[in-house]
Amino acid sequence: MSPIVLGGIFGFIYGFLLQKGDLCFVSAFRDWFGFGTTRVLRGIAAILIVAILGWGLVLTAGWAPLSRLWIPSFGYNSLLGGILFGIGMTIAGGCASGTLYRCGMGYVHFWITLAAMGLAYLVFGYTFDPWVADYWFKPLRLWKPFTFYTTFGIPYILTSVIVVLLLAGLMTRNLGLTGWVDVLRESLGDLVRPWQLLRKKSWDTRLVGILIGLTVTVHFALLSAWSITTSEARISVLLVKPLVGEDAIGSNTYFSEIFLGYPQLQLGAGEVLIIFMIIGAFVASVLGGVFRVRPPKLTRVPNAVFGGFLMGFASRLAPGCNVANVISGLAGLSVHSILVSVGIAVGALVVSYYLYGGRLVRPWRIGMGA
Amino acid sequence: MQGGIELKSLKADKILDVKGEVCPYPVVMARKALAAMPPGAILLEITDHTISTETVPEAVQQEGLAEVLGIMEEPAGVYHIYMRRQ
Repeated sequence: MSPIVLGGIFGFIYGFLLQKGDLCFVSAFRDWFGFGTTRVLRGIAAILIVAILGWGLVLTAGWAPLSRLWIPSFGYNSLLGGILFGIGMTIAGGCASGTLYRCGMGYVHFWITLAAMGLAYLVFGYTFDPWVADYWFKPLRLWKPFTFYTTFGIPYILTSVIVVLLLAGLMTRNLGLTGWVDVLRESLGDLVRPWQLLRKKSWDTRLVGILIGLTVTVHFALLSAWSITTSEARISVLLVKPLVGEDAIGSNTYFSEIFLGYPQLQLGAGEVLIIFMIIGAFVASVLGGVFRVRPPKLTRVPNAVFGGFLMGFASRLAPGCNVANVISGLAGLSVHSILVSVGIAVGALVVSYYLYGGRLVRPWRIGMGA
Repeated sequence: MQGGIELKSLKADKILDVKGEVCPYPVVMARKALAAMPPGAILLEITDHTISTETVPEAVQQEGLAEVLGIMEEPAGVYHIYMRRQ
């Protein structure tokens, strides 16, 4: 199957599942900090557990090369970029993936957010060489790519199992074995009624998490690591191509870098994936009866514009968004992505503190229970 | 969504129409409105933000601010959340 078709299929599945679980990373962090609920965080934890085990298995079996992992060089840029991304997404009210699935649900607010992100990619491209490259990456990005998969000299799957046990141990601190069994029984029980499930308005986030974790694993084995914002940056460049001309794009250091390996300035599998994420979310919302063109509140348009712009620009500074780092990067056990993920959580914490009037609960108590 | 008919017959003491608002404003505004209401008073929040049907009840119940009486969808994609101040 061609990569373009695969990109479309995976994009559709991601969009469909994210909508069904209403799985937004902003909600995961902000609601955990704001009033201590972990409904969405549980879904993200389920994605991670399945994806880390899945990727370990894929690498061990040789179904994907180690070079397919997304492991950038890292440094202070990772943490700072993550913080800025976390601030941007919390102001906008949706992360990179949350923005896409809500575009498919008819939210005009998130179409504005997406447009602001697109503008940010272009501004980044025009400021990259020399300013951002010289004053951000050169002094801050200090260390070479690092993944824990190659640290201990043991089979990849064993590393995965150790990491998952540590993660599960942390998450079950407030939950016994019974809780885990209940979690799995509740989540998987829905699968035996597929037609009813398709029409159900919302799905248990743990079920969605498990299904996305499996999709991320197959995606990794067959095509690539899942990411969003670099593909969105390519789409932005393609949209302005008729205005600025192909030569102007070819002579831009950053734009030519992100199109490296592309035979022409055209859509690739990653870009088709983005478009189909919106389509998948649209189909899911229509099936569930929750599609509706939702006009934005005018007073919140600045949130969409400023938050979206900051989120887009920060995704280039880190680099990577919530999906590339919190999902693909953590499944790849990349130090860069661990730092970005911590940064995103810190950024979300800072803005949540302001939004909730200084009232936050104990964010260090992670629970996986209902 | 539950108890559609019973919910419809409830008389809200305050109606908060937050259609068009996205997270976290439906939660922030429900909290603020409830805090200013006397115990037993009913707040009706109208939202078209799907995730608010989870986050608003979670937030107000977690803080002991209100009891959620139910959620009614009318028309499709618009949710009426009924809460009684505690």
